[in-house]
Amino acid sequence: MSASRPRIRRVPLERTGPIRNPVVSAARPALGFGLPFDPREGLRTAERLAAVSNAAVQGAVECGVKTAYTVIDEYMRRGREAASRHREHPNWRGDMNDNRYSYSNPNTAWGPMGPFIAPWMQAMQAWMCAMSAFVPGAVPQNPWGQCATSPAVSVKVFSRYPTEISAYVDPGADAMHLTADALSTDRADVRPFGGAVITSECGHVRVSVTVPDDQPAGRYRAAIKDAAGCRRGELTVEISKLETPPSGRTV
Amino acid sequence: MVAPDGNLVSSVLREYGDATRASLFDYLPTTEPRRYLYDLVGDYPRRGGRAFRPSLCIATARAFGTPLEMALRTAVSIELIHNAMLIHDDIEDESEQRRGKPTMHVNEGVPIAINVGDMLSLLAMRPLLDNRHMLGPDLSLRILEETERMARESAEGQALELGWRRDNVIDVAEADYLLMVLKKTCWLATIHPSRMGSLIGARGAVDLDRCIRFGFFLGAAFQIQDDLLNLEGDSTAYGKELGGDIREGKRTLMLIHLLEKATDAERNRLRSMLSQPRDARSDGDVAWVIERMDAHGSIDYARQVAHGLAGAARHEFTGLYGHLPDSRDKRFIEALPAWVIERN
Repeated sequence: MSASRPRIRRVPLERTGPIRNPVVSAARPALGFGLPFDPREGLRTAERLAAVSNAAVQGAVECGVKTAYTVIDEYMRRGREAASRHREHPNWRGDMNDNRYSYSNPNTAWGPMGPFIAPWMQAMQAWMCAMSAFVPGAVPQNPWGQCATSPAVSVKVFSRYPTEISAYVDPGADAMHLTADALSTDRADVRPFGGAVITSECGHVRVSVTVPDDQPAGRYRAAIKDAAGCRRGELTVEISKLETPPSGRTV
Repeated sequence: MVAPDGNLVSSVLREYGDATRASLFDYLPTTEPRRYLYDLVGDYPRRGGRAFRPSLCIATARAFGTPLEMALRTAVSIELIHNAMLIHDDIEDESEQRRGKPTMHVNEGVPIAINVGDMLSLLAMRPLLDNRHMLGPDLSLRILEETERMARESAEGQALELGWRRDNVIDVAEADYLLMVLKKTCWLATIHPSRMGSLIGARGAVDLDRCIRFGFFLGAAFQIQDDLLNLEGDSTAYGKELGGDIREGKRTLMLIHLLEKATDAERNRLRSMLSQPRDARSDGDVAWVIERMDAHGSIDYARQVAHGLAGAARHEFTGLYGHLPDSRDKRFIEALPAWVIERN
């Protein structure tokens, strides 16, 4: 835009709201641009609208929606065809998602350049692992970034019997207040128990499970949920019973 | 169609818009160069706006039961990209007003405005990168991929519209227009926010293709209503110059309908007028076009098509989100098709 160009001056509007009635709307041809208002124009325009209604107005909804569905169907069809050409890729996720390469897979992250990049990336990975040995407490590095998806989980169990516990928590859930449902099995005759307590802090989730002494052996599961009741992980407790129960509790 | 719950829509837009803006300004640097860049990147966001796009993203995620915080950074990114595109669109369209004030390039000149738009686009990447702390690397990367897809679709749609205007193409069919709107408007305004909200809410376990239909019908109804408001809206609420689309030669549904229904003499005058530069189109030209649109029923036709598309969006909503439990967010999304055609 040229700075020397004169600014366009608008004529002040006669009204400040939309006119929704098509007859009234058509009766005001100026629509705020300064032409005179003729009250008889509405009638004439209504007659014109009636005259052209078969061609222009009647069925506009149906025609418009039909055309729109035709457009979106064709668009989706073309998208599916394009996507189908990439189905061989390991992270293909759907017809229209256009995921051409798997960034989490070192073999395909670079697409057709992968075979040429791979030796260099392997060398870099070896170098990073080697360098981590010089940093006290450092975790060996994973250049693909997959190792940090889930928070660390530690488990404490109180049980008279040998008990194996596994817990999975979604990435990011460690920043939330978490609770566990009652632990239950598929068997209807075994009552659930709810002795799991979860505390979380950023990057670390602690799970504490107390198994009732009379709880039958079996594999129990419970969903880990956030404050909104959304599922954020799963807790599995497997209780084994020995022929002769030990005399004390194990921790 | 069920009448929109205006209070619900406006209260959700206000709540999620406030949350988005509060977080958005954290991503705008306050360092030098301030005068020519960082003081300006917050100009359009500070002017307000309905925050329709980020609100749709957040509401969709929350309808799946996900906390607002999980979708907030993606919503911020959507709003930043939207503002970046507005700055560039205003230059390309030679628009003079945005949200009731002079456009960025009118105030600051075209070169600085382009650079501010570029910077806003880049700033939109940071919240997406920060997503990894809360969503994990896999989902965050997926959102980045989706964002790249959305930006590509939007640029393709904008290219179609700009090309039609530059080459004075007047045989644009309604289907051509809808395809252009699908790309230029719907992907950023409705499809992308729906897909991102669904992706975050379902943690990746969702078929995003289904969001495209819902977003298309909702976004197309939104665009046609926007074009109608450009002709006959409340200039204060609308925030842009009335009749600006005709002055800019935009191929709207009303113009396409008029070109189809016009007499040979009218079509020749339209072709001649559209071939002229923006400055050569007078107020009288614009008034004549609107008068002819009225006479041929083009405005009413477009309004009816917008209503039909809103109905189709409502239909697609049922298939897409109907299975979700009742919630304020679900009701908000359900109310949007009616709201987009009733807004002023």
